[in-house]
Parts: sequence; C-alpha cells; structure tokens
Amino acid sequence: MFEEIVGSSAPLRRVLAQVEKVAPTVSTVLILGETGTGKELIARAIHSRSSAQARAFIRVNCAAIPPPLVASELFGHERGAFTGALQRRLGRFESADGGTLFLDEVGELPPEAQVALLRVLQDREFERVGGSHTISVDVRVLAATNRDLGAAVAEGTFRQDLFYRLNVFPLRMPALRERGDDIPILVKYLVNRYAERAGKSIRHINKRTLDLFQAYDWPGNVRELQNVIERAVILCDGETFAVDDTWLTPLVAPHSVATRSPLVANLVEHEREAIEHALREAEGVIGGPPVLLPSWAYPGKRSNRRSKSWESSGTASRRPDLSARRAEIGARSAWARDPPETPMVPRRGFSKR
Amino acid sequence: MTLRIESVSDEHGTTIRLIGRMQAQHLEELKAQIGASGARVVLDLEELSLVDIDAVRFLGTCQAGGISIVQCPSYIKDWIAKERGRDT
Repeated sequence: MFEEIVGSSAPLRRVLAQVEKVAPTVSTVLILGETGTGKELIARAIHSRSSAQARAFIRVNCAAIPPPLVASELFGHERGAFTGALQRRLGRFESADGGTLFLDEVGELPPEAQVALLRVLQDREFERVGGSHTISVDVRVLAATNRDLGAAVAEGTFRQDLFYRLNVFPLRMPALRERGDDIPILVKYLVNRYAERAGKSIRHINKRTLDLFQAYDWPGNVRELQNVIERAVILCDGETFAVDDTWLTPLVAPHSVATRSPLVANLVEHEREAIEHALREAEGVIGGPPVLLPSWAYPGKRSNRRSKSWESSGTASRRPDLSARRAEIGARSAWARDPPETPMVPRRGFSKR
Repeated sequence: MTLRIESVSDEHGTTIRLIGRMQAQHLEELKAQIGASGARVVLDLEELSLVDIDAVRFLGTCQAGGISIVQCPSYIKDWIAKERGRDT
C-alpha cells in the first residue's frame, strides 16, 4: 500500500503543481498512468487539499465489482429491488455526498454502468435500483485508469460522451522510470519502513543495488519497487541492503503472447503475420478455391480459431479490421452457393471453380 | 496515522519530537509550537515515519532559520538537500 508521494523529481513536481491548482476547484479530474504509479495517492492529495477535505473520500474499484452489481454499488438499492435485497442500501454516490468519489479503474466499467454514470455526471442526480425517487448529490468525481481511454473510445468499449465528461482536467502520473531521480530517496524511505517493520537495522544501501535500481525499467512502477525492497529486507541478514541481480530481469515481454515461452511466442507471432498476409492477399476471402491461403489457414479451421485467440488476448487492434470484410464475404459466399438467376460477374476469389 | 508533537523544555532549550506522519495540514500547528518554544529549538525526527513534500520544504526552512534537526531519517535528509538544491 502506498502511503505518501515521496520524491521531488521534475515530472513529479509538475504533477504536484497541477494538483495544487485543481484541488481547490470542483472540477472532475481524470488521473492517468501506468499501474503502480500512485494514482490513488494523487486522488487523496486532491481531496485533502480541497474544501471537502473534512468530508468523505469514497473509493470504488470499478474493476472489482461484478457487472450486474455496479448500478447497485454506485447508486444503492431499495428493499426488494432484486433477490437478496433485503433492505435499502445507500450507494457510493450517496455515501460520498458533500465529499469526493474516486472511481478507480474507470475504464473497466461495463457499458450500462457508463450510461448511468454519465447521467449522474451531467445532472448530479440518480435513482436507487428499484426506486422511483430521484436523489440529488453534491459529489466531486475523481477517476483513474491505466487504460488508453482514447483508444477504448475508438474501439467502442468506452463511451465518448463519458470520456469527455471525465476528461475535464487530465493528470498523468509519471512512470517510475521517468522519475529516476526519485529512486534513491524512495529506496531509503522504503528500506527504513520495511526494516522497522521487520525489526531489523539496515544502515547502508549497496551502491551496486542502487545503480541497478536506477537502470531498471520498473514496469510495475513504485509497487514493484516496494515489493522488491520488502523481499530484500526480509532476506537481509546484515546492515547493508542489497538485492539479487536476477530479481530485476523482466519476467514478461511487453506483448500479450509473452506469457508463453519466447520460442512459442515467436511461432505465434510468425503464424499471425503469415495468416494476416494471406488474408490481405486474398482480400479477406477465407472461403472458396484454395489458391491463396495455405492449407493450415483454411476456412472455419485454424485461421478462424487463431483470429479468435488474438481477439481474446487483446491483440486484435494490431490486425487489419476484417470484420466488415468477413460479413461481405459471407454474403458473397451465399451468392456463390446459390447464384441469382440474373448472371453477375463475381469478383476474383468468389467464383466457384 | 497522524502526527504527534511532544515538547520537552529544559535549561538548554526545547526539543520537539515529531512522531508519526507529517503532512501539509500539520504545519500550522507545528509552526505555532515552534513559535511558542523560545529561542533554542531542536526538532527530533527519530520517530517521524513519513513526510510529504510540504513537510520537507518546511523542515528545510527550519534548518535554514537555525533550528537544529536531529535523528533525521536518511531519506528525509536527502530529500531536504534535494529541495534546497532546487531552490538555489
């Protein structure tokens, strides 16, 4: 758990300067940044510098609520609204009335909850699930995400109007690798904290370890640094803090296929490129004569299965958009199987040979 | 966790022990305590577990103003030095 924003590097100071300016206002703030950069700390810093500092700060992790329960969680429900709703329950918006509501992982909200949230942001009012009484609230909304919401809007998974409502004052938390100057102070602070907790006395920090920390990329950011230090403190027997070099070797490659071994990942990547190339050559045709696609990429078999696998692994955005093309192909294939009476000249790749 | 301020005075002056976590909202109270403590003030930070950037700047100002800081955790010492380096 993060406890405070420690450091004074230029990127961090820029963010803190923005925090100072936006905190006293009532504007909605969208906090962006990679996982583990401390977005919640920034939200808390804004709340504690606002006029609502004495009121509630309510955090909701949008990714942790099952989609059917999001509305009930945010807006509350009336007794009997659904099976198991044995009594009236206040939602997070009502609980945060007069204070701040922090919507963490807002990019994970399901579509129906996005609509409801949009309405609250616009009108500052809502109804509890199963209720007919409209409730007005005075809540400042802070939202955070590690997703590229612009891309999510383009993909159609996040509402554009909600994005604009949230993106009033965007703040981007720098990744730890952008704040290398802060690493020595952070390391000393964290070593002190964990050593104290473990009842150890660690007085020195190995120079090589510090160099290693500053050279490392920290994909998990401060959270990863915390974990590495906690582990090292537990294992530390003397008064000098040091880590094993192997701990800082990246375990996962940046792409999603990297959860497999490198060899398998390469094969999958090559296979994908070959299939995509073949599909482009065939103008997206995956049925018809076997002239363009290799045998392993035949219709309805492996290529389709692979395509689905890319979609589910989140790499679909790297592929050409073939869905509309496939729909067209389906229609043309139907035509090819059962041609109309009026003769037509089919395009290349659609004729039956 | 919040900040506890303990003040001990003797013929040599006043030692103010800061315990816990010091943030911007504690600074007014601390300034008042320092102001009421007379000429020779020492800030003992041995049990100060956490500070924010406002607290660091304040401690730097205290040092520059002649207030002694003792038992300062090393990360706070470094941070004060860094902040001072930026100001100059």
